[in-house]
Amino acid sequence: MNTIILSYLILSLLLSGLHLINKNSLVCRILVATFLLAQVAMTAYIALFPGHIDDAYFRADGLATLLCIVTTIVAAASLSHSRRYIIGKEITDDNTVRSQYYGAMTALTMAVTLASLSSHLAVTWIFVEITTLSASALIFYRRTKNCIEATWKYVFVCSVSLVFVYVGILLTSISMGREVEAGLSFATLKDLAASLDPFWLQIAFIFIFVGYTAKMGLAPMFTAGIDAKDAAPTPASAMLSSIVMNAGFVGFFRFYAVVAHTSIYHWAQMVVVTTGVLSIFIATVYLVKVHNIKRLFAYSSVEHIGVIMLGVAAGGVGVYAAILHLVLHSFAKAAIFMHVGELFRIFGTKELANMGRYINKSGTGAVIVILGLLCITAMPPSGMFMTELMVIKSLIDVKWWVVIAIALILLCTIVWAISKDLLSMLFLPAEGRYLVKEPSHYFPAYESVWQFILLGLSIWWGLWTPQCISELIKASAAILN
Amino acid sequence: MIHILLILFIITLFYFAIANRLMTYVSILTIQGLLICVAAVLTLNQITVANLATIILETLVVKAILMPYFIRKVILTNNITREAEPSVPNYVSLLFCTLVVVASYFTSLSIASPTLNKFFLVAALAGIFCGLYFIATRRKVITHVICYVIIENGAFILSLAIGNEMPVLVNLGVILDVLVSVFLLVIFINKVGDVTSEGDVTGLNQLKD
Repeated sequence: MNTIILSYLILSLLLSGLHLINKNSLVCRILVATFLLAQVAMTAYIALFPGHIDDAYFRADGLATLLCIVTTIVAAASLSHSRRYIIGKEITDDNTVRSQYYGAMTALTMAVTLASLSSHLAVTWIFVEITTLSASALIFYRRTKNCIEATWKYVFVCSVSLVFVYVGILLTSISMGREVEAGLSFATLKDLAASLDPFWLQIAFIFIFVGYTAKMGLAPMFTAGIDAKDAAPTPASAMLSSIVMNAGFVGFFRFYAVVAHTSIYHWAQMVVVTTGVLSIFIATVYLVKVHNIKRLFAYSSVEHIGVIMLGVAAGGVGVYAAILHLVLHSFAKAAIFMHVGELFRIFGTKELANMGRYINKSGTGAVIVILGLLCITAMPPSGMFMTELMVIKSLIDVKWWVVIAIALILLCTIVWAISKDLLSMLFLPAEGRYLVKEPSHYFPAYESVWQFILLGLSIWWGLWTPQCISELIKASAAILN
Repeated sequence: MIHILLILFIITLFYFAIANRLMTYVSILTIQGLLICVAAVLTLNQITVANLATIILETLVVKAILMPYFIRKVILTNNITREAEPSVPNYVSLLFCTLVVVASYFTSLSIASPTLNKFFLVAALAGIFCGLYFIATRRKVITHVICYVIIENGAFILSLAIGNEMPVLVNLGVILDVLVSVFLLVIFINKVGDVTSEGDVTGLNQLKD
């Protein structure tokens, strides 16, 4: 194993462990700062020295580098945001809870980073499984009945799903036949693609795909993720709906790239596009009648991952658009989830009916909600407008007219559903009653800096993608070729 | 010899379908752990010492000793009713398991693959699908964890069917993940028990739209 990766892994585990035994808040900050430093150093190393990490288990290719950069930015934002979030809560007097929270955040970031870097089918599985374990500690943070329920469902559904992935990995080695000694790295599988047994590979693909949908938040295993994002503290929800979804995506996408070189590629495209349309449909049904703002954003993630699947399945420019969409969605969704924490501080509720006239209460907050609304509904000037347009273009290229028609109708319905809820929260008085909080409870405007940065990135990278990022996305999309 | 072990494994699934007490379920886990341990040692004859050690660790230590120990402890400390209380009659479960085994048998027969041991495949498929069925038909959260381990055992037998060995490092990661997830689930049962009586999943229905 590469020494850089090994030192990063050991350091992260050590810091995570130190959090668990530490009771001092100053030490806690030092540990968080040290981890962020290590994370940034690791990402910088990967980005500046491409090709240095290349061994049996880890390989820093374009996709890995891109996702590491996204992970680092989102994790830095979430960890900085956690400070404010946690100070405001009585529960944080309990040092154990705080230690567990930061320990789990550290482990989660490490697991997502290494899952993106992994170049081996089974190693990816191991790190994605670690995201389940660390995320469960985050969802459990508040210790209420709902948190227990959400944690239980999340751990259980994700564990069973990941057993599916494990079975899929075993079936893949069956499909290799006598070549099984060559190992299960993605590069080897790609080289052997022509000789893989299509029958076993089909079953393996179904198992691996269904298993990773729990992490990606895609139909059919999306339910656990919704409850988890609802119950987790907002900085953790931000991580769950951005980088953890990316970890699931990378596990799926690398295997899909292997399948793309085999005779079952067309069949796999059909499976992926069906799941994509189904996810958008499910998201639409729930978004029309959703009452809880966190669940609204969680279902919006189901929609976006559905769009990403359409792009991936269509191929061509769609793959580029899908990966860019994944990146932009990570930033936008993380920002908007962080802001839910502020909304909760003002209204004391997550029920949409009990929120109203937000624009009178916080100007900064209203700007963030409007920007967030534009981003997650993919309206201009959001970068996601561009990527959705490219996805539609790729669907036109392959002439999937029925898919285009269904997707457009559903996406328009989603724009209406989300706008209706968020605009009435901004400008109309609340239908129900809410707890009137003193302005001293409100957050100072500078607390929103990270949210502006993330939303800004989402718009900037979408409209004027920097050359280096564009190169990385092209390299990621090239995995399919 | 291997065939006898695999048949015994399938019989433990039938026994699970008709058993009524939680402690019987836990004993079944121990028996399955021992069976797959012996089966693994007999199957993988050209094996390095390190791989042998990891496999014995995974089957004997983790699956036959540690997991049943944790689960037994949780049942005792939480005063969970010893009746398993399945939501369908036992004979229906037995019938279903029989159908699963027959279906797995015919599926395996119809598959022609020179590198694959078909008898392992029958046991593996039966383990995975019966485990899923047991999860769907049992109400207590602790039985869900037990059934999760049964699915894991099925997956382990599938890995024997292929007969190749993963590198030690990968194997260790897999064991660690499985152990930690069961450990976590067991911790949460303690918490679920605080909220709902008897750790029954019917109490976990608050989160919805």
